[in-house]
Amino acid sequence: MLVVDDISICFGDECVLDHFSCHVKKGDFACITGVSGCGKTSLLKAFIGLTPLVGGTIRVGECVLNEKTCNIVRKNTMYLPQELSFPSETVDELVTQTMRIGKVKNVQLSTSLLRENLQRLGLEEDLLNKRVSEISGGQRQRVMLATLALLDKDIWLLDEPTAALDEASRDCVIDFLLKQQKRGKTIVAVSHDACFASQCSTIIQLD
Amino acid sequence: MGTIDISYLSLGIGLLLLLIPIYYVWRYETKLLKSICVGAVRMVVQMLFIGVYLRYLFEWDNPVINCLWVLVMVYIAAETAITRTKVRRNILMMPLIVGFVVASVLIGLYFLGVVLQLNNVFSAQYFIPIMGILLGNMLSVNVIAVGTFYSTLQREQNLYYYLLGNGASRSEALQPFVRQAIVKAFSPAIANMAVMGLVSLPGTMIGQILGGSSPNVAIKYQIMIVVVTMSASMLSLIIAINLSTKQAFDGYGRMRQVMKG
Repeated sequence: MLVVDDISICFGDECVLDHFSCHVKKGDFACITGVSGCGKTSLLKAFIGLTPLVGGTIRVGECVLNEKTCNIVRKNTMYLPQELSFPSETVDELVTQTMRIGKVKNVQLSTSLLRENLQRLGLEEDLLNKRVSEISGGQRQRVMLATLALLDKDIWLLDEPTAALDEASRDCVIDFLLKQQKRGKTIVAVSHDACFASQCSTIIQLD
Repeated sequence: MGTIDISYLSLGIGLLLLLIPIYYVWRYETKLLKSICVGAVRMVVQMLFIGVYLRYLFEWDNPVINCLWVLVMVYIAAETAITRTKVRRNILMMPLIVGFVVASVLIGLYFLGVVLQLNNVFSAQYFIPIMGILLGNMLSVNVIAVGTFYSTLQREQNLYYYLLGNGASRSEALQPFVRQAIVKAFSPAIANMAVMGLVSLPGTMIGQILGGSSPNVAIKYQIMIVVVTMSASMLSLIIAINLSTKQAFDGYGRMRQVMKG
């Protein structure tokens, strides 16, 4: 599903990944792990062409990622960044922003499914009426995960989805993701969390 | 009814009023002291010069010279916008020039040819002042909007990449930033339009009345000036943003270095 072949990622003179290769099979739940600054997020973003490569290729499904195919790849990919400091006033507005992408792409969006996703991620429905500044970073990230799940993409790229969560919330997220894996989704997540990594079917260890 | 002239001595006495803003700019250490002083001197010198060259432009009344003069104004406006927005020249210069020229030609000539129904739309008496007022407004709006657009985009890149990474096209991912830029640049003009005649009496109208026009004529001109400046500003802004974003991103939609320094 995702094939990374001999890529290098450099920022100026410093290369975080040098001639690196790996692959993730369809339906895998993969965890990219490693010490801070080793290029985990850069690798995750490289799958959708958001990190410039110095060399090598990335194949997503049938597409070799390049300037012409990156939009096709992104249409089949869901991306949840770690930092979500959006300028939205309310949580509902934050959700609408994401739903708009779905509307443009003619995806059937269901409010009842959003409520169900929120519940499965351990969130109250009335969270949607709160101001963004009133909710925690962990709650915000789970709201976005619940919303992005509605887009029903085949590949999920998640950056530290459990970083700001307590144990109970983390278990909800892991459970949610395992269910999505069973539905045939391919999940690649960056994580520092050993418990999270232990639930994944593939580990991509970066030095 | 003639207009009372202002002697150079009286003008000097009037200019003393600038000491009030200059004092507070200095008192609160705003770092605007040099800008306000240079700006005031430039304004006086430029306005004295404009008296000279407008006299010649009106005397010659040549369409080619008038158009060349407008092109010079376009270039100066684009240069000024580049300096104030701090966006790199190679990204913004041509988009601004194209935006200013297209908006001036379309909106300016619509006003002069269709609304005023002038036989000669290039007549210096109308062409030069209308283009001047359009360019002045387009400059202010573009400085605020383009500056807001790129600085917000730089600061909140994660929102842009989040939308892009989830399948939005580049223009869809840029929508929140364009929206923010339009709101910031047009809110004062929209608020001003709503209270015009009640709270504010605009300069063009006052100028015409002081120049001896009937208030009825001055009012109609003022309404049209507000409409054409707003339309031209919006058109030039959309053109400038759309053309500049073609330079500001690479083939993957990743943001290049757009701000100077």
